[in-house]
Amino acid sequence: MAWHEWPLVVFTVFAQTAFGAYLLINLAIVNQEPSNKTAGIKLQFFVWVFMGLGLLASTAHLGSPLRAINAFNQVGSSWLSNEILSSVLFFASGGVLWLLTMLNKTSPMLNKILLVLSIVFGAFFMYAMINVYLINTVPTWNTIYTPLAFVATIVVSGVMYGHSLLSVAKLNTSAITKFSKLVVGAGLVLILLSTVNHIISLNDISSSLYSASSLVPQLAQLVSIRLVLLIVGVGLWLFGCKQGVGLQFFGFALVLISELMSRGVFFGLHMTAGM
Amino acid sequence: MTQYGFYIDSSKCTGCKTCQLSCKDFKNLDVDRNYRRVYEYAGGNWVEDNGTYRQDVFAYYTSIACNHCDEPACAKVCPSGAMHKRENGFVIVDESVCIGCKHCANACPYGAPQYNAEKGHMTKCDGCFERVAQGSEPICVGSCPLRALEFGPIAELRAKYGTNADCAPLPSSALTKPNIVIKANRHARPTGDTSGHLANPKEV
Repeated sequence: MAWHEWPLVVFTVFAQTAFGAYLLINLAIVNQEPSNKTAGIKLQFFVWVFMGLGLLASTAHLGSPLRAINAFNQVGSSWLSNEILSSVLFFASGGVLWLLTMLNKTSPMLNKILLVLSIVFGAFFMYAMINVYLINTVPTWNTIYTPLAFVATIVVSGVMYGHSLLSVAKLNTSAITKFSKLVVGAGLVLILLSTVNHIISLNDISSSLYSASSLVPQLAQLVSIRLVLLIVGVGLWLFGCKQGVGLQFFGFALVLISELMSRGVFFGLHMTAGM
Repeated sequence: MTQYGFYIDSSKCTGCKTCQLSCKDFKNLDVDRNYRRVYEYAGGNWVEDNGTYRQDVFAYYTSIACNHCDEPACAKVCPSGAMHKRENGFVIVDESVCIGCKHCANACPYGAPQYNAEKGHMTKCDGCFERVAQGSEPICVGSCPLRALEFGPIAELRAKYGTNADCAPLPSSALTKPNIVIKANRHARPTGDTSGHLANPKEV
């Protein structure tokens, strides 16, 4: 596990969770009456807390955080620049929507514009985040398993968090619960299948100095614990969709820990094609 | 623009690491950073030979710093533009711009960009471009007691020594188009070879 990369582990997992939850909450309220819409946007506070914590963590990754503004210098040519810019735009557009709603200063038109903008920025942010790690000199990251893992976090962790929040605010309809269960179930299957294939694929990746399968000590144990946490977490959450909100959050918390572990393994699997 | 480069004669190199130390001294590097590093690639085993067994152990050295690549992986991913290729072909990090995100170190397959925790940003081999501008050669080249390192316009080095820039444990030169020419050691294994291992992990 790459403990030293904790800022990026937290940033990527929290941002993906926030985006997934944001999509689900907006999907849940899109056809509801105005008062529920307002309640849904207010509820998104907890999405922005996640996003904010992620951004805060990401600055801890910088050696010179006071110069963070320079990170925008290569927008267009560097995916890292694109990622950082779109993360800020996502946070800003969604945050302004929430703030205006809290202050009762919004109009349906403005609402719509900000909503569409935030989703576009957010989607591009997710796309950019994947591309940051698809580096042709890093054979362990430059694989299909990077986008699969990142999308799976959005789908599983994000939807679980979003649904748990909707349940607290009593904004979830039976249709959205059914949809969430379906998506989380599919995401779980995606993670299980891709994890098996990913671990096996590591045997084929090596340079003269490093072999991918021996980069992370106790890889098998870490992945096993991560999968148990994931399965138990999803199970409790599914149970909680009927039984109560507390169980849903508990299940989500286990999945979040599982995702953080998995991302720690991801960063630990860094190697280059050379030395 | 003259693109400069290094010639590394792995058939002469004895792994004495004077290049590594002269660089460390000249650039005032702390314990964790070595702009030039000497990699010892070693391997071998018992092999059957006409009913008897003999050993085929091997070890050879490759002295590697920044190769000032034509397609530098470090500059491609840098978000601040601090990591850039200068007009004169040297790949340099502008230490007044770098934010210390270390993504260049993730991307470079030669380990050239190195983080200075004290300064909070990346540092790397700059080809001693100031010395070169004054007509001297990089400090590592002059220090080599085996004359295994040479520096000059890469076109001249290639005309003299050929174009090989591949051997284990280096990555494929197709990835970043490094400006180096390597004369292979007689034991040299091809890029991608996994029969050996890094024999001096704590020195690089």
